[in-house]
Amino acid sequence: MTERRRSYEELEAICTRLEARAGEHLVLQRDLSRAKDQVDSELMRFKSFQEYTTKTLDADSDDTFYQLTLEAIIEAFELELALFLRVDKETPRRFRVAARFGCDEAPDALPFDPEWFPGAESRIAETGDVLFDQWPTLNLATAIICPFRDREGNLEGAVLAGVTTDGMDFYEQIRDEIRVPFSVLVRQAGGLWINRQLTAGVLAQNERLSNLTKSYSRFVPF
Amino acid sequence: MLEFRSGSSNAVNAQSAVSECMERAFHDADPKDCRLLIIYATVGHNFPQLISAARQVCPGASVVGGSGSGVIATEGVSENMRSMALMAISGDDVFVASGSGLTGRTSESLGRSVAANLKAQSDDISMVYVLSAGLDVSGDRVIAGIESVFGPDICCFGLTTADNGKAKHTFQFHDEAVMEDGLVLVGFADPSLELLTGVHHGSVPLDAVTFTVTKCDANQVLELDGQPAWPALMAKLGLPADTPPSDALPIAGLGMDLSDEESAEYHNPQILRVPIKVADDRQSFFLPTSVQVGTRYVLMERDEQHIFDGVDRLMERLREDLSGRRPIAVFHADCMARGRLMFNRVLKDEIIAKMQYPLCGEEIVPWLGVYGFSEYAQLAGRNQFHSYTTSLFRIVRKQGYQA
Repeated sequence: MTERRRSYEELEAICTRLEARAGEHLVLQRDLSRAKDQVDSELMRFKSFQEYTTKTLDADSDDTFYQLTLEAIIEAFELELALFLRVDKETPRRFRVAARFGCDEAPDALPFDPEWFPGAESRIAETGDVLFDQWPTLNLATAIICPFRDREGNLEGAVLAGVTTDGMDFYEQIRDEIRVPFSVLVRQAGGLWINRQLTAGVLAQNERLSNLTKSYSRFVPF
Repeated sequence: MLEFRSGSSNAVNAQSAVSECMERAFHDADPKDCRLLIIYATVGHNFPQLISAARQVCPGASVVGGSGSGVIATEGVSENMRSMALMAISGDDVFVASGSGLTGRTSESLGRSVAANLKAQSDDISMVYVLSAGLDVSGDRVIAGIESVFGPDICCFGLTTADNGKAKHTFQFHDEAVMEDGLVLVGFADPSLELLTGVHHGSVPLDAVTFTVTKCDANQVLELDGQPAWPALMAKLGLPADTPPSDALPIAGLGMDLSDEESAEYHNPQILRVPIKVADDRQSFFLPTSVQVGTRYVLMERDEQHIFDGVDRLMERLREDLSGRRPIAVFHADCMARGRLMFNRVLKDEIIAKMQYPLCGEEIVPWLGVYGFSEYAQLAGRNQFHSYTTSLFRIVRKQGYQA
């Protein structure tokens, strides 16, 4: 059987098709590498959550606890800044900035509305969000915030993390995929925080009892 | 005689990161004897804070360095948004000069003037560590500028700085000056030292996909095969013309044929160029070397197996060069496209271990590596500019050297 000689135009069309397939192959390779990178990020995030819990259990002061929490958030989510916010018990609808990372210029207090936190999950704030209007000094371009609550379900505080408009040349827009892991870490932090408070309460109670025992022991001849 | 120490840290807090690096580098030695600190960090770190923290620990030291998409150290690889590594050098025979204003057009003149400042500090400099901006530079012209001062026998090695793959900003610093268009040269004048270079890339040509430069200006490619250059290149990849360079960077390597001698040493018939910056109108792009009309490029494909095989061959060659000597320090420049843009963490750690173990064995050898955009490394006895490579620069004591 003799093979038909292909015309120049046919060969050119085949060549173009093959070139296009080669290009597609390269793009597929790139996308596969990105997917592998995302899996790595998830694994690293999980690892940093574990390390965070171990470290914070040993935190010897509230400030250390706040700082470890913010550093864990920065490390796990690769964001530019983070704030640990606590409800100011003396001023309604105001957060006290308990600790900050990556934004030294953040104010000491920020106003809030409980309606911003209808549930326990984190939410992502983009341009036009009320957070950006109310907290303009933070210069945020993208942010994620998650509340945490006390044992009675009252709002106790929130953790905010994000990227400033200047930082967008380096950082990614916050994606929906991190909403759940962010909530997990903040709930973990919230839980640890409540535990710290309770532990501090129990220790104080123990100390009182111990002091009382000592003072009564003067009258009890053991 | 110069002494080298290295350390790295993934701490996100600048002060903690510097402390951890210094602790790893110095152990029980006194950091106050340090003459020069070379620091690399990823772009999430605040550079002025890092520099200030480093100078508190080593008040008498000059600090130079830059940004990368990751760092590679004795402790391993990190491409976190905040990671850093440093090499601390003690001894008198090391000198630094720097300048700003680096672009593709000014590369040779700035290279010459900074090299002249360096040479004015010592006539005995035999190797020059080059650390330059990464987005608009003609690496070959930087080399030409340095060679015009030191002569062609000077050993140049180093890299262009990078960001985290967005290809928007790269940073270099010298003491308090943090630059985006900087050129920093570190001159080594210790007569007991010798530099051994090994360089390899793992890309293979897609022979059918070639381009010829038909219009260019300095390092800017204006037209390929008579078409606007960036759309023409993107069309071959099936990508739209408005694709940012960061999306194309890992897959748009352009190969240029090497001479037989160079090709034999390189284990590759092509040297690569990377389109790192695109003109605002998305019609043309910039390469990190000067470009000539008529140059033929072939589209290259990174090949995982070729990369691993190439590292094995490279390490065999490097072991032979060492002739039983242990390096006293290793500088390492790796293309960022060989980092997270190519390998997952396990493979990346494996490939780095394949480099570190044969050179260092169980011993700890000071090691400072960074994922940058391109590399300065000798090939076949000539200073050359590369992209997409692993470049290993081992500093060893000369055989039989007596002070």
